[in-house]
Amino acid sequence: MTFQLIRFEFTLLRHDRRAWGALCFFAALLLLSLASTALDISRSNHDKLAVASAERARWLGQSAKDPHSAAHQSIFVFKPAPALALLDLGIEPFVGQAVWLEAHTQHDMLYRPQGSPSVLQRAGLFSPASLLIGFAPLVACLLTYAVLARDRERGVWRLSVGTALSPARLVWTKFLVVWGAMNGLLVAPPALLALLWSVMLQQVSADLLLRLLAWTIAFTSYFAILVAVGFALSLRASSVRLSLAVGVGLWIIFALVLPRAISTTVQQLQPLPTTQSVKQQIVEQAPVYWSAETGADQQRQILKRYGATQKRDLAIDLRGAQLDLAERHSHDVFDRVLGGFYAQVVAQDHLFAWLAALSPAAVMHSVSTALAGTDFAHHHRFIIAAETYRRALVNRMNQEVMARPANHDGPRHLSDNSLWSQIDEFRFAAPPMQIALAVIAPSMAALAAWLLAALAIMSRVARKVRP
Amino acid sequence: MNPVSFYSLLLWELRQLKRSQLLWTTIAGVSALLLIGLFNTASLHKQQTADQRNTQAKEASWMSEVRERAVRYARPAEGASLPYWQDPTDVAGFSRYYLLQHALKPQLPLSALAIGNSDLLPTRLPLKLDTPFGIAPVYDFEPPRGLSLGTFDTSFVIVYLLPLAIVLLLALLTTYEHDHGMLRLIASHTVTSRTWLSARVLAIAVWVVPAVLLAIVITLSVTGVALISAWGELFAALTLVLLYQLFWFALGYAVLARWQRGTGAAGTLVTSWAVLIIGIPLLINVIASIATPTPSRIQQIDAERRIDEALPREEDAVLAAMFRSRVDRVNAIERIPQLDYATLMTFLIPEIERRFSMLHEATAADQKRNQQLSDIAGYLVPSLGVESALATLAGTDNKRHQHFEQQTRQHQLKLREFFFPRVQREIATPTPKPLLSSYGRMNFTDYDSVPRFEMRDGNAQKRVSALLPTAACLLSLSILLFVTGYRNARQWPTDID
Repeated sequence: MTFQLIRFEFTLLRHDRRAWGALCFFAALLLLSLASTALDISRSNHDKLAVASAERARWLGQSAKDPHSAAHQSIFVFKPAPALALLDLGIEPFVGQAVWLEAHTQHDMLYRPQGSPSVLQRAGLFSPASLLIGFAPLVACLLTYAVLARDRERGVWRLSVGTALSPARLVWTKFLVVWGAMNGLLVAPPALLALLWSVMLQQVSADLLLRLLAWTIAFTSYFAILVAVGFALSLRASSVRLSLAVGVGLWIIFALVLPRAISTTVQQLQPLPTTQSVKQQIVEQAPVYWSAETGADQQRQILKRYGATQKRDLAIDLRGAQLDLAERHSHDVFDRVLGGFYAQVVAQDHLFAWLAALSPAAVMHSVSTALAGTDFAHHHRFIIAAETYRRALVNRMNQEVMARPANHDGPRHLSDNSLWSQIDEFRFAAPPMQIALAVIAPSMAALAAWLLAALAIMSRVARKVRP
Repeated sequence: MNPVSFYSLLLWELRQLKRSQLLWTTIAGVSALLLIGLFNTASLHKQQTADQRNTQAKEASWMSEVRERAVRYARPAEGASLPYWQDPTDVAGFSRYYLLQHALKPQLPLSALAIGNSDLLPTRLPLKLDTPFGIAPVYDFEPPRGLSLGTFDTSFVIVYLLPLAIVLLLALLTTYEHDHGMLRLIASHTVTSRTWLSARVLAIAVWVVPAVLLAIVITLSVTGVALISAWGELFAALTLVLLYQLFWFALGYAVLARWQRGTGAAGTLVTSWAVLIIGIPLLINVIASIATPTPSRIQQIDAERRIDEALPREEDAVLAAMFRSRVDRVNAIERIPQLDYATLMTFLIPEIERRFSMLHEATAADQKRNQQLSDIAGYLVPSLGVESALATLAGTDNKRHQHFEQQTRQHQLKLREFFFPRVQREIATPTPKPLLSSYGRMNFTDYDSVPRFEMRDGNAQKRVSALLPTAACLLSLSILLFVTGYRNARQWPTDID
């Protein structure tokens, strides 16, 4: 009986040209965005792989030279797009995709895909998740109107309730139909395509499957909230006009205004130090080019450490030791200044995850990007991995300079492939899902709370439906 | 019985609407959102201006340290020996390691009007002699989550939220009679459908449009914008917002003239909003990215690295050719291996730029193509046109930034013209060291003569006149929609018969 009722209601929904048309149009937009995102990611990943391989070949094939010069030439490394970026690009268009691992400096990640977009490029940038989060509420509003509110408007609802054995069951059936249609057309296709995409890229792992499952559950929960609120409004509002007006109003506030407003509030509550001040601190505390006085001081420290009174007495190369000293000092500065800065960005995201509880759409922004691996916590992991690699590379080069003393003003030692090949190729493993969960735990709890509250309200309203 | 005149009906509608809670709540809501948006934009730009001042202060303190060093290094010292890169009195050393200048892009008076791309594009560019084409790929870090979600700025309220408020008001306030069966009663009077609908829509517009414009002016002044100094841009912005509102009223009028009931009209109008503001930009963007993919920055890195790798192998030949081409240097050719890195770079930088030029031109051409496409889309899609126009008035648009980059490049060339001959002159005719026992090479201490950067903006009239095509398009579209609506509204709906 229930199955027949669901089939019947689904048929009615499909025959509603406007509602079904809106749903299909939105699904088509979603697929378009998915296709465009897939194209961008595959182009970018292809280039990154090819150029990373060329960089490696250049590193290994470089001519014999002073190891410190090699540390300056060094290599570029590239951040691979996570497989689930197909579903949610998150911050990817706005963060650098490449970094130069040069001696002395922890360079910024450069070449942001949306570094200087035109108005059209920025206004038309929608990943599947951002479309779903921002505009599925509007679709839910139209669908609930089509299956329930309009019946009320036409008086059909009174008749249906009058003949139904259980009016509440009728409401739940309609809920299941709308929720199922939205999931079937808006969540299942992107999730399945993402799975297929991961298989093609040979990136399927337990972690990825768990992320995809969690992403799917999160969106089905989000849709359940939207549909439940839509039904509750349609049943409780004194008029259909009012229910639609309130529905659209809630969409504007919760999906359009609050996510941006919360994000901006987070920036106001926990402002980040400016780039100018961060760079200035680094320049002051770890200058790339030191003064004559600093150089003399470094030399004194080194001579003292090695129990020598003059350069010629040292068993190591003084220049190499100076480079090593300055390099290790700069690591402390980078950890303190840049590390502190990035920690503040992560802390901002934590605060956003808490404040996002005010709006299910904001919650979804936090949850979706984290599960897709496109939030700052994941990006930060890449920054750390690249910097760790840079330090290992530069330290090894400095050790080589130190180990070949040229303190008698003789020619500098030149290293060759036997040294270059000691540096392993850079590889970045996608961070585990725990990284995501650590950030979004409050958002997940908020999503569950919103879901329970929405279902409870709808259940209560459905119980009160009387013929 | 005489037919009811449009004017008297309009006055009556205005009096009735004055008591509408929905109308005033909406206007108050939009005003509050405008205030929040302006505050957010103003605070970002204030921070950027503070950063620029800090940068200038740091430059000044750096130069005073350099001057102190120059004085110190001029004195006799025991066993004085200093590599050139530690010597700010060596012209080559100074030009490469001590020249600290930034090109600064100041905010325009009306910058709070739209964040534009000011959250992405740098307002400070370091000026180095060897940066290819003058533009270092630097940026100020803004929280990427905020960039991805979009900043809650004035332009977001005007371009995205204001139309929603207008269409919802129209849908709810003009269909009340239809939904409640009162339209039949009105139709039985001596009022035509056109007069009734037009008066109602116009009355809503008469309350909303000036209220929004007033709210913009008040919120701008509350956030500390010097309105008088930017009256031309302000007037243009208000005209643009006026036309944008007219467009949405016209669209609403055209939809309402089909006499749908409230829910149907609201659904159609909100869907139109979604199609215009989301659907079409997304569609054009996707088609454009498939048809004309942006040159890959990753591949450009590879190309640049290949050039960088090849140059040292050819460096000697390149330098020898350059020396041979000048009579005053031809005799110094055997000194090339002894030249310091900074001096060598004065010869190699133009050669590096020549080799990079194709990559640079491809990027510039891509930017130009994207900008043109965006401009064309702006004429077709009002939201894009208005967003772009507001950013132009605020000075936070890409075109002004490109102008800034061009000036930065010009200044870099000026600096090269200043330093390169001085550095290269030291090869053939080195300046005698005044005191052999001092640290300093002392061939450059005239720091005040180094050219300084100052951005020159086009006048306000130029910015305002750039908006005319957008304004004309908005007006044309509005007229077209009004005429469509006017024609469709000639009969009362059939479902009230």
